[in-house]
Amino acid sequence: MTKEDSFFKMLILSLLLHMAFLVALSFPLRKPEKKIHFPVSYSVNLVTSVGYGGGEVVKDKKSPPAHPSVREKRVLKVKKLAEKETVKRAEKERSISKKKVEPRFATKEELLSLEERIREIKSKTHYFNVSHTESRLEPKKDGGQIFQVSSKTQGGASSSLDPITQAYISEIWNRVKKAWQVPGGLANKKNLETVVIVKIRKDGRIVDVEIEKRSGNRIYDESALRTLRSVDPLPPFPQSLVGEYLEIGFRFLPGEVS
Amino acid sequence: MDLISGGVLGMILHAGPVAKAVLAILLFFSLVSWAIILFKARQLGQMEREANAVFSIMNDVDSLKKLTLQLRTRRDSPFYTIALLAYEGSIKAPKENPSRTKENALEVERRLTIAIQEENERLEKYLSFLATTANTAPFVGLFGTVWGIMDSFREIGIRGTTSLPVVAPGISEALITTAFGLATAIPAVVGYNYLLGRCRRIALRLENFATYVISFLEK
Repeated sequence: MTKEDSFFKMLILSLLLHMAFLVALSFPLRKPEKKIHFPVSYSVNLVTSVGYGGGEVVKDKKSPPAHPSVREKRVLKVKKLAEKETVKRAEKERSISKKKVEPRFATKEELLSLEERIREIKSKTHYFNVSHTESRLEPKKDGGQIFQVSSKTQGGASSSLDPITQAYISEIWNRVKKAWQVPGGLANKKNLETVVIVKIRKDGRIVDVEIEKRSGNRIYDESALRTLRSVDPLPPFPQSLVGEYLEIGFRFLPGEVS
Repeated sequence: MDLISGGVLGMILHAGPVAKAVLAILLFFSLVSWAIILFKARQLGQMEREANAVFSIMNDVDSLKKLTLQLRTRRDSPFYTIALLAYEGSIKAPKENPSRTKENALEVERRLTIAIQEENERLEKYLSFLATTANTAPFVGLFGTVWGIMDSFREIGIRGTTSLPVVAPGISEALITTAFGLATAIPAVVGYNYLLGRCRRIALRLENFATYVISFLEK
């Protein structure tokens, strides 16, 4: 083995060492992500409006389950649907009566009635999905493009954006725009984009903030959230605005900030 | 992208061009100095094993010729070179004149000293790079930091706001070059001192061996 040969071997070894070091470095500073754990035994909160009349609690301790495997599958389906419902429409905020379904005690007939209800909810969902068209407010053309706002009204029957809602949203948009500060060093990065969905209650409080798209830069995401926190509470809904909640999507782009 | 954004790698990717250049220089320094540390550790380890073997042979041998013959298997070893030089000197030495013998021994000793110094030079080769890395890497890193903070302050001036969310990320990014400078320099310092110590010990053993070999000539 010549000397040079040995040295290059060590150089390669050193390279590997550095790569391992850099890979290791990329992990420890990360915050542990929030994980959703699904419990093993399912308890289902089905949400229906009073208008449907089905307020009774489905619970029967006398009859044992007929087909455990089938039942579980169905319940799972029910659960998924129910989740979808709650997440998508935040239905619990509407006039509600909660029902608890204990899967262990459900009989076949009750399952049938359950399915019926699921169908009902499904049909309702379709209705809402159709009615809630997304509309975009074009940002003003002055100080560079900073946000794009999309909004979704909740609980109201109006499907398109009426001028009152539009005016309200543009007011909120102006507030957020004023509060938005791009973190140092990131102002020139063009490819950063964070999309945040904000849920505003009737009295102007922000009740829910959800990041729909992360920019890939944690500081940038955090500053977007911080901006939203700083504008809370927002002005309450104008009286003519129908509905309990308003969902607005903000797109944070590092434009020129005046 | 999302995976690395939270960690230090994400910070590196978002750093400015000067910081990236500084980090590239530091990476080069670090790569080479680690290669030298590993290479030297191996080379010195080999030398130490040789020295141990030679010293165990040394006590069983009663003449220079036998010793040289014993060491013939280690042709690359400096111990063999020393023994051979001394043996050649002993052949040349005129047996009948004691004063000439002493002169001859001195002559051999000079040659041995040169051989040992050459060997020392070979042992300590590249170690100077470690010393350079240890001394300069923190400053290179510091340069990156100073530049980054300079940039941050300029940005504060332009934006007219000193709020922490605006200022902190720039400074945090600037500091990363100092961190990497230190991460480069510290192993270099430790490696340099450790390896230099081992070099000195091996050199000492070579000198002892030479003294021992010369004692044969003076008999």
